[in-house]
Amino acid sequence: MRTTPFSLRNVALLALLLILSACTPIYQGPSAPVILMPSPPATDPNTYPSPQPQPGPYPGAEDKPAPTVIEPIASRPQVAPSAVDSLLDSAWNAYRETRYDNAVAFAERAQRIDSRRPEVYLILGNCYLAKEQPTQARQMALKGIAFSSSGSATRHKLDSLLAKTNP
Amino acid sequence: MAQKKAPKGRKTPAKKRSTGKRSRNKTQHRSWLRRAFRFSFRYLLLPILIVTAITLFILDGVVRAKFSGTKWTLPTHVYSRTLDIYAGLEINRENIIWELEQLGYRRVSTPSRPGQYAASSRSIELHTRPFVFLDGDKSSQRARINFSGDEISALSDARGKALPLLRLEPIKIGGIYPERAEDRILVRLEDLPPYLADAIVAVEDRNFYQHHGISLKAISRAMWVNLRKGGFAQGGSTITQQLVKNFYLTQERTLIRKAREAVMAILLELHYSKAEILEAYINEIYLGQSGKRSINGFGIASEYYFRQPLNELDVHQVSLLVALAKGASYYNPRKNPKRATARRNVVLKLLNDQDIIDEVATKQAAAKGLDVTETPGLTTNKYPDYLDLVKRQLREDYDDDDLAQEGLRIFTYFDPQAQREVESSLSNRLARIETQRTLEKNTLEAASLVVRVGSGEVLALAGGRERRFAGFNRALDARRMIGSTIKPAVYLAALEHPEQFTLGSLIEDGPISVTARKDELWTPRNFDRTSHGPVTLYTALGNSYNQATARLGLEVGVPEVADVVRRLGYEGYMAEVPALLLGGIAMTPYEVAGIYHTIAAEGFYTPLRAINAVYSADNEPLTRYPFKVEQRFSPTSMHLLHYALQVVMREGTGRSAYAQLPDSLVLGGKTGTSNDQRDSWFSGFSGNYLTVVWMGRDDNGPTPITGGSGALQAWSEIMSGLDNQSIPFARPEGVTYAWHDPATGLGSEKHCNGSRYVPFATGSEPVEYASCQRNFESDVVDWVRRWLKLN
Repeated sequence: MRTTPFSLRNVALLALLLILSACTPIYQGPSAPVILMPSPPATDPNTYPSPQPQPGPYPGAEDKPAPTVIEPIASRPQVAPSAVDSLLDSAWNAYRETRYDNAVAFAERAQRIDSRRPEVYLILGNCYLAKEQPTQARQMALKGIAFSSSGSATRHKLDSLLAKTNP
Repeated sequence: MAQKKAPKGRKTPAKKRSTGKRSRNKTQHRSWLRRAFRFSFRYLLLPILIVTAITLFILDGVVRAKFSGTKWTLPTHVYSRTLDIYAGLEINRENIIWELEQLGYRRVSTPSRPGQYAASSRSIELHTRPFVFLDGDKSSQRARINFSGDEISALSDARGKALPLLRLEPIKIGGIYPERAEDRILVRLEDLPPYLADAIVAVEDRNFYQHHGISLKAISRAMWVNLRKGGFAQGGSTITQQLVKNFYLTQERTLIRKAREAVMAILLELHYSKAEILEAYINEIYLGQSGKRSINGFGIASEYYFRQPLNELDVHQVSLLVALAKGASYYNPRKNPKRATARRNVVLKLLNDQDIIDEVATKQAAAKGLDVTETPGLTTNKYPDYLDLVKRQLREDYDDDDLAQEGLRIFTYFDPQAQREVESSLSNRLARIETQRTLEKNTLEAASLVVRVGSGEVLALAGGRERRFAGFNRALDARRMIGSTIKPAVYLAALEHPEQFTLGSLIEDGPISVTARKDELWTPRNFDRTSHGPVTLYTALGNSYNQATARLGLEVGVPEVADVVRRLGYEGYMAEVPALLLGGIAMTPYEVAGIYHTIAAEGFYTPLRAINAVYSADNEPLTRYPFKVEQRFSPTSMHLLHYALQVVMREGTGRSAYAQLPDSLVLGGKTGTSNDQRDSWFSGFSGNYLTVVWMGRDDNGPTPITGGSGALQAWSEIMSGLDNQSIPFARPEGVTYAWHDPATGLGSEKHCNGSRYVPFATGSEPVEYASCQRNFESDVVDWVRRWLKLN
């Protein structure tokens, strides 16, 4: 059977694992000093409400799972790129034709599909700048920057938009 | 004037006498007539003429004033969001069909007209309706949607060419009505379906284009018929008279009213064209009753009976509506379908008699069913809680009269699919909890809202467990203690000081007491009544340790935590006391959603909003409610907080969510339970949806549920029905990941026993390292995994 070598290998590896785990030293705890937060100062809280026990986790929380690896993602996949691109194209066209409200409406539709596309905020920022709302334009630029990778063309444009809206 | 009398006893010749007498008689007669005429003119005719002239003048004024100006008070109609359809969208075939049915699309074998669709097991072919959208008009479009499981795999036009997007028009979700609750959708003559105008004229007033307001012929015919039948069998009112009766007068049956109706009909015809009168009739005529609301005009009647726009109706449907003009209640097709069918067929026969439709079409139409929807197409405000929010936000810009009379069109962000999930999940979970905990039925209440992350659009809102009930809106008005829901603010306040606190810092979860008011001690305890010793910040938040959080909050400072809560979006009053650190503050679910939205949106505050735009009755944009944003927290501190909130979901009090949600989905959230378990909260988010759920009792009594065993369960069910994306947990600039040892809070290495990869604000990562017990087990497992994958 095709699976036999594989199963044998698994059995062998399992045996090896068991042996190794038996040899692993038991963790003895920290040897370095523990950094503790200082105790709270005994302030004079004149307006404290009456003391009440505060509930914490739900019953049975003692049954804790092993820690999960929570890691950042290297790059975020774009959501529905063709739909978003089509809306962004329409938004840029409307922007160029100075139909700013329409451009905003298109960009907001794109935002609904993919709220982390930095181009969305580039368009919105430019529209608000054209509509003489520099504060909103600046905030849009900041939001776009938060979602863009440094060195990208969009980031460069967002940086320049931010510079134009400097208070 | 005095007459000169003849002298008495004076004799005159007979002829002369006779002639004189006649002449005198004649003169007397004439003068009497003159006198009578003068008297009549002065005391009868003249006043009558004057009164008539004044009456005519007044009636003319009435006729013109009402007809020339705004003819009707129009209710405001509220619409849902539009649905953008694209390849990759997570939505199944059934939900698209549900959406189409809400819009009144008709299922056919081959869609040939706007408002039709055909469905097979893996695709839907549809012909969309034209609609004036916020970003421009959109003509109707034929398209095909292909599905693969619960996702749209392809979208193409009629020729099979790939389409990037397809948009469905919004669903009408309710209205804001005037006191005299009339509902109406105005239609113009050019927008009518074929046959409607002809059918109205043929049935109601075949001489409409010949008479001048009243038809003596029709009146004589009606009188003759009524005399023969010995009672009222036929009316002789023209369309103009019917319009006058409905538009200007009361429904009383008196001769004076009838006379006034006739005069006003003539006046109306003097001033306005036949087309204008017919159009007004089509928009005015009473065609049904929906609860308190009267259904006026063919436009709204079409929605009410068929859930279709008027211009999509076929001749058998048009004939039914025309039939209803004779008596909407008597011929009500939902209550009296046989009677309605008979009357409809009479209308069809009349159309055939007058050569408007041919014999074949008549027979085909008469053979069809009534096609009336089972439930009215316009149920009064199916989503009262959401509409409540819409009204509150509208009142900032519009007064009540405008809202109830100007025919505004309100476009909202309401997502009927998300609302369905919220309503069914709350009702399911509450019932299940009550059964499991042997509580009396309906002991618990709940409220929830779903918000789109990033844009702050409120997609769904439930103010209680009872659907369609416009009662106390708990989502907006129930201020309840939020318990541990507030804890992320405490940790965020700490993490904004990386020189003092990092996620890996240890904090003592041990007994703590501070002197409270009147020398009372404030002694928070953990839910499990156990102290856990030194724990990392993420462990303390993940497991919602009260003692550690209180200690951390006091270290950071209560005012600083309060400031963070305000920056997150809370605008109400806060008592800056230690109890605040553990949620000793009452908030509404809406306010909690506002706070958590700022967290979910990575530190960018956006006011929650339900309304996209307001349009006038003429489709002119009046007010837009654009997306606004303000950065209030750094990406660094938000990234760290997101990490800790993911710990809550993966390892802490929120972990049971993954019983209902896929492991691959990255989520963040926090439980909240107030004292004596009076309130159960869960607030959490994916990459695109934030949902807040509250459960508790209306009398604020204790419950057997915590945030984890109550609200979280409903939250998970709601989220499992939404097309979630994972939190895009990308490392921002200013964040460095490093291995650390949770037991000591010191630095560590990947291969060390118990080490953990944790984000730090760059520069705050540990510089001292804990002693390392090499984890051979993990090394070997890693090695084996790699080896197995390679082979």
